[in-house]
Parts: sequence; structure tokens; C-alpha cells
Amino acid sequence: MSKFILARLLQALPVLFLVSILTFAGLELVPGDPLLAVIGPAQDGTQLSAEDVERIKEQFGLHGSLPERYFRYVEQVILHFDFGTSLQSQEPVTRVIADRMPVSLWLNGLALGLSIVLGLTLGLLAGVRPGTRGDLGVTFLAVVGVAAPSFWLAIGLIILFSVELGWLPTSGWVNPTSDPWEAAKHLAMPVFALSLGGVAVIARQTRSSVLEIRRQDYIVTARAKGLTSSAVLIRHVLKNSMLPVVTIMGLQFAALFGGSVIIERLFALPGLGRLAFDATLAHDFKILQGIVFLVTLVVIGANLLTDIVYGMLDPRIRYQ
Amino acid sequence: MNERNYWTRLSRRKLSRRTLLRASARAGVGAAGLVLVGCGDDDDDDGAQPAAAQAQQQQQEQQAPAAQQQTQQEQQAEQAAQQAEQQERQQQAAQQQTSQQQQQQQQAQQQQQQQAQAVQAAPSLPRGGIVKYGAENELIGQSGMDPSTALTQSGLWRAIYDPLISTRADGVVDLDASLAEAFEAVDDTTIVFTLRDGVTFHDGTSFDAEAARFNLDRAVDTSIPAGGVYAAAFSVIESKDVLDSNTLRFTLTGPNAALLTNLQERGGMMVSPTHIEATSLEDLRVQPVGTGPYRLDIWENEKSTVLVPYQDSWQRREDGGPYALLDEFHYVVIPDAVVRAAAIESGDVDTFVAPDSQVGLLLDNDDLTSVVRKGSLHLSWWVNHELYPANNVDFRRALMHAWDKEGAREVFYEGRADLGTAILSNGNWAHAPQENFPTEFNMDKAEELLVQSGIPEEDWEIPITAAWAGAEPMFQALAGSWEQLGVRVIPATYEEVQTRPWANRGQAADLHIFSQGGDRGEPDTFLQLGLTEKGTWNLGGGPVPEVEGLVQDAVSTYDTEERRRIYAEIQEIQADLLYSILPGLYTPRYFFSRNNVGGAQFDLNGFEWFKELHRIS
Repeated sequence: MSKFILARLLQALPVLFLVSILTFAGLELVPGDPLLAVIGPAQDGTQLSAEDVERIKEQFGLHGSLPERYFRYVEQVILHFDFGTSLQSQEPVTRVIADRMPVSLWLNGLALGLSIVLGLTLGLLAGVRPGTRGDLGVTFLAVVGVAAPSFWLAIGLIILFSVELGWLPTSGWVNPTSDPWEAAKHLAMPVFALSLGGVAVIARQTRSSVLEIRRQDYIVTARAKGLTSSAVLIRHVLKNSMLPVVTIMGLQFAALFGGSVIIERLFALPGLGRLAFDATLAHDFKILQGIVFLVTLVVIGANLLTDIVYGMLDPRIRYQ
Repeated sequence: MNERNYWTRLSRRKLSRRTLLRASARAGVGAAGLVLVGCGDDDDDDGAQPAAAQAQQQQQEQQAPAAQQQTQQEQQAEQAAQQAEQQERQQQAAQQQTSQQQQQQQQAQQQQQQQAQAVQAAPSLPRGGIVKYGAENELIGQSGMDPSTALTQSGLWRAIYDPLISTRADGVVDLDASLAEAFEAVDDTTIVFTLRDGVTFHDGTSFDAEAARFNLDRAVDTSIPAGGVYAAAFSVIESKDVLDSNTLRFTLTGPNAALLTNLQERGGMMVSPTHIEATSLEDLRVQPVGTGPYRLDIWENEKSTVLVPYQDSWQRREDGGPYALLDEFHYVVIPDAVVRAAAIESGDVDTFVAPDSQVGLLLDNDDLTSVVRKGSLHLSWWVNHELYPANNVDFRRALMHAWDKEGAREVFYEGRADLGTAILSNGNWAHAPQENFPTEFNMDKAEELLVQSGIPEEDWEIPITAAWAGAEPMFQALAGSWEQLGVRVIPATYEEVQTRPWANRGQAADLHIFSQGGDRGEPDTFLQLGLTEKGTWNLGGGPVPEVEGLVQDAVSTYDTEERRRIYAEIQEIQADLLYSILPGLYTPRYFFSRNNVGGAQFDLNGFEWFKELHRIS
């Protein structure tokens, strides 16, 4: 297994290298001058001379040709794990990201957990008893969950639970370790809005997998040899239907980071998604480079984890 | 005109200066002049010019040409005798004037003392409670609160800092809220500030003239990384001299009427020098230490900003307590407009400035009250009049007439905006509506003007973009009208507009912009940027000879009425030539509060004024 993990890690290196080039070049080549993030549009009468502009460029490492800037960037990242300084807040990027990371981890972690638990449960219920009202209900929920945009759902939740009923706060962040009850109230809507899509996808995938596995000969055999229904379900149906579901879970993990951009903004959660949104508007490409690199690492990590789980679920994969 | 209006005072000083100069000329040719010089010296020493003395000096000015004629004929004995009589009369008048001036000066001192007492006796309002303000952006974390480096401002600044000179929302200097308790324009280029005693910063250190000079030097210090943002605005201050611990003297490079308005902005706000010297630049951005009624208690980037009263604030209320009325003021960041509106409806926040899209909905909510600032921004075509074919005034006028502003007002602002009638908005004290301004939507007239421009149809095109994402729908409506007129609209990207015209700092841009901007109640900065060659908002960077001189003239006189007259002339010329910024609509800002919160208002710049916020039981 360790060889398998090592091989996967080695395979990730060229991906990271490629990503670093693409992120750097992609963001550098976007029309517009990132210098604006530093000096701002001169809307309030403050003006800088050409010399001032050059001075600021040097301060933020915006001087030199594109390759020069790239090699400087790679050197900083590899040798010092330093993504530079935010053009807007003028803080070290690593510090800014580290500051936001816990919020995103809580949000995405809880959303992923909810997606998996609810998705698996609903998918199993629907798959085990196809054609029943429960199955129809799950299918309907899955369609709604996939079709409904998360921002629309979020606004609907806010209007219902905050404005009309007054049960939950509209937005904001409370650290779960400092005040779990308040944190739960603040995170309930964003976690639900973010996870609903995942719940729907996982439920649909689980349902179809379960339906397919239940038709397999070895399930008939298991039943014929006298195993109870629950034993058949847990030992044979669930385990074998997990393979495609794990794939979906891995993809969901990456998708959650995308979805959290909107959700974090709507619910005023100071996480990485909102940071990415603000950085995009502000042309703060240093922050964006840091986030993209980090998310790439997370996605690679999630894929690695998926591969490991594959191996655990199906020994044939491990030895290929 | 309000007696406490700074401009009125200084305009009197201007007349005094002229009188002095003319009196000096006379002094060289006759004894009468010597007497007048004596009078003039008294003027200088006296400082404030009383109304009666001003009237008399104006009379003297009117008499000046006659006096010069008399000087030429002074060899004639008869005239010499007459002149001697006149000298005697003038001397008597001068003595009387001096006496009046002394009385007036005493009255002014009494008034200042009364003002100082008024500071002690600011109205007492209900104390206690927490008020939460819903903001779109994190302010401290993003742009920081270091006056030397911050690029934007907000209401938080005036809650934490005090400026050397404060200005009320109507543009009148408000010494009650200023760290300078008085100032005197000794002449056109010398201003002496008398600073308050007993003012302390939030760190307990004292504010004095050295601290003021330290801060003003720092505001223009370009050696600070990304600093010196007020270098241009304060370049008129040639030197700052500390005369004693409470007296600071400015020597200016020339008269500058906009200086005091600029001093009430963040460049003129005072930070504890001890704190500055002991703190890194990075921390200074997020650790504001001022003299204001509130001090920063908690700040976590985008998570929490809490202000609490500064118990030792120099401004007090009638009840003897500190000026701040709330136990806590929370600045809550909610980026999304809809959620922000939902937050005030649900009571999660108590007050906020509503985004345009939510104003109509919130005005119908009986739980909320609002104050409005008209003409806060103007939605405009920022024309590049150097760029063919828009370098043709008929072409520009045609396009302005093809803009259905009334339709935009109804659709996008539900009728709450005002139609643009001049380059300065109707929220600016110098606004002068122009009949010739292309306010009317008239496609026939637009077609006529387009033909009249003589520009061949194949050249009817305009590279332009909306300057911010929210403007896109309004821009599309405008672009649709222009295309209906036969003009091809070549869109530029949002990213391009963010940088090409504005970040180039005076270089010529190669496109036009559809944007909104604000003139912040003071015309000078806005017109300097828009109507001078290389001005950042003069997109083409070309010369604007018809008005550029007038823009300089307007800021070089302290006479408010004269300034108003010159600005009216500028607006008239601009309406004829359609340079720079062509407003379609003047848009208002609404500051909403829940009914149990009082004191919400705007300042001169259109920023929120938090200092009076209080809970209503």
C-alpha cells in the first residue's frame, strides 16, 4: 500500500508543476493591471507619479518580465512556501490563507459530512425499496437538489428562517470551538445550502448503484445461502455499491470549494471562497495564486484518498 | 451666509489683503498713504475682519483711483489742503475702525469661548446599548486605517479619528468637531491654527502641534511603502511651523480654497505619533489610535469589528459623559446586498446604507426610517473627448440626447434619482443647472446632431465599457439606444476599464467609460481631475483650455460667492463643450435604521456619520 501511495504522490508532482505554470500565467495574462489593487482607482483625488508607480511595482514584485516573475514566484513557493504579499491587504498571502482556512474547513467539512450521511441514507432507502413513495420522494429531492442553484436556495432559506420566522441569523461567523450553539445557528443554513447538491448527487448515485448490485448473481447467492436481509445489504450490497459513490464523493470534495465561493459570500463567512471572490474583483492575483495552488493540493489529496479507499474496497485495484 | 462659514471669513480676509496692497501703493506717494498703511497694519494684527470694517475698506477701495488722481496733483496747494482734511477724516475713521475691530475681536473670542462651552455641552441623548451597522466590505482589513496609506475612507474613520478641521455635511467648517479650536488666515498664504488643549489619543498620549505636524508630514511622505496618498492634495502646504505646543502655522504656495476641505479627510486625521513610532506599518493599518469618541476594541479580519466609547474623549455631552453614546458599535460585514437588506429587516443589523436595488423594498418597511443624501453620486458617460469621433462635440451631444435618462431613472432607481443638468451634482454646493446641458432624451435631435457632426456613418463607433459590474444593466440600456441611433458600441472588458484609464495616472486612455463617481460636496478636487490636462478623469489627457484656467482661479480665491460664480461659468462652458464627465443621473444614498436607533446621518463626503448613533428606548 505504501508503494501505491508513494507512486500516487510522485504522479502529483508534475501536476503541481503544471498547475503552477497555468495559475501563474493565467492570472498574469488576464487583461488589466494588478497594480490597481495596490494603488486603487484614483477616484478620490489622490494621485501618484510614474516614479511612485515604479517604486510600488518593485515593492510587490510586479517588476520584470513574465518569466522572471514566474521563476521568482516558484523559488519563493518551493524554498520558503511563500506566496508573496497580498496586493490589497499587503499581508503575507500564507497568513491570509491560514486565517481563512479554518472557516472553509468547518463549512466544507460539515457540508461534505452532511452530503455523505444524508446522501447515502436516502440513496440506500430509495435503492432498497424502489418504486415506493420513499423512493419517489428521494428521487424528487435529488432532482430539486441538482437543479436548484445554491445561491437561490440560500436566499430562500434566509428569507424563510431569518426574515419571516426569525429563527436563524442571516449571516456571520462564530467559531464552533468558542460557542458551539451560536456556531450551529450560524452554520445551519450555509451548510445545508452548500450540501444539498452533494446530497442529491450522492443519493442518486447510491440509489442506482444499489439497484444494480441488488440484481447481481452473488446477491441472489448470498440470500440463497440464508443470510439475513440486513447482512446482505451491509456486507454485500453496500460495500460493492460504494465504488462509484466514492468516486462521486471525491469529486464532491473538490466541487464544494467551488460552491463555497458563493455560499461564503452570501452568508458573510470569512473563508477561502469569499477571499477568492474578493481577490478576483480586486485583481489581487497573489492571493488567487495561493488559493488555486492550495485547492489544487487539496484536490490532489482528495483524489489520493479516493484511490486509497478504492484499494481498500476492491483489492484488485491495489495490485494493478 | 452663515457667520461661522469659513469661506465667508476668508473672503473678508481677501478684501483686507487687497486693501493693504493698495494702501501700500499710496504710501509711496503721499502722507495720506502713510495713514492708510497704519490702518492696514492694524488690520493685519487684528485677524478677523468685522463686517463694518469690511464695508469701510470696500469704500476705501472704491475711493482708491480717485486718491491716485489726487496724488498726481498734490503739488497744487489747494488740493493738498483738501487732502490733509481727508487724511484727518480717514485717520479718525481708522481709529474708529480699530476700536470696532477690537470689539469685534473680543466678540469673536467670546464666540469661540461659547463654542468651546458648546463642545462641553453637546446635547445629551440616550446612552447605552449596542448598534450593529451592516457594511458591504471589510474596511480595516482591506484598505486599512493608516491615513498615510489608506485609499478609501468610511464612516469608521470619523468615529475613531478627529481631523484638524471638521466640516459639516453642508460644507460649513465645524470647529466644535475639530481638533483646531480656531484658525486665522493671516494673509492669503498663511494660516495659523490654534489647537485644543487637553486632547488625548486613545493610548493616553497628548495631542499637540508637534503631533499635528508629524501626522501631516506623514500624510505626504512618499517614502512610506504605498504611502503619501495625500502628497498631491497637500502639496499646496509649503511649510508647517510649530509656533508653540498649541499653535501650528501653514505657509502655502498660494491661496487654496479647497485645503480645509481636504484637511477634514483622512489625510488630515490625527494618529498618535507614539503609536506610529512603536508600531510596524503592517500593524498600523489595522490598529487605529486616534482621538475620536470611539476606540477600536476588537478587530478580526472580516469576522468582527467592535468599537467602544473612549471615556477620555475631549468631546463631552451635557451629562458630562463621553461623546460616544453606545456601549458598543459593531461593524458587521455582509457582502451581499440582498442578505444585507434581509439582515436589517430581521434585526440582525440595526442600520446600514442601502444598495440601490433594495431601497424601494426597504422604504415600504414600517420598522425602518431613513435619511437621504441627494446627488451622492452621478451616473455618467466619462467621455474621452480626445478620441475620434467623440472629439466632435456634436457627436457627443448626439449620444447624450440618445440616452433615455428618465427611463433609466424609473427602471433602475424607481424614480428616486435626479436628471443630470451639469457636471457638478445637485448635492454639491456649487451646482448650477445648465439649460444647454443635454438632459433631454430626444432621438430626433440626436440623429440631427449626428448628421450635423459631419462624421461619416462608417466611423460612428464608440469603445466603451461599464466600470463596475452593477452598472452593466444600465449600460446595456444606454448601448441599446446608441445602437438604435446607428452608433456601433465596441465593448471593452471590465478588467480593462479597471486599469487602462484610471491606473495610468495621466496617460491618455483609448476608451470611454460608463461609470459613477462622486464630487464629495467640494467641487475643486472633482474638477481638477476632470477638467484639467492630464487630470486622471480627463480620459484623453488632452488640454481643456476653455475651463482649465477657471478651475485654477476658483480654488485660488477664498471668496465663496466668487467661487460659486466661477464654478457656474465652468459648468456653463462644460455644458457647451461637453468635456470629461457627462452625468445622466444624480443618484441618492439612503441610510436606513431600525426605528429603535437614532442619529444616522451623512457627512460632507457622503460617508456615514456614526458619532450620533444611539438607542431609542
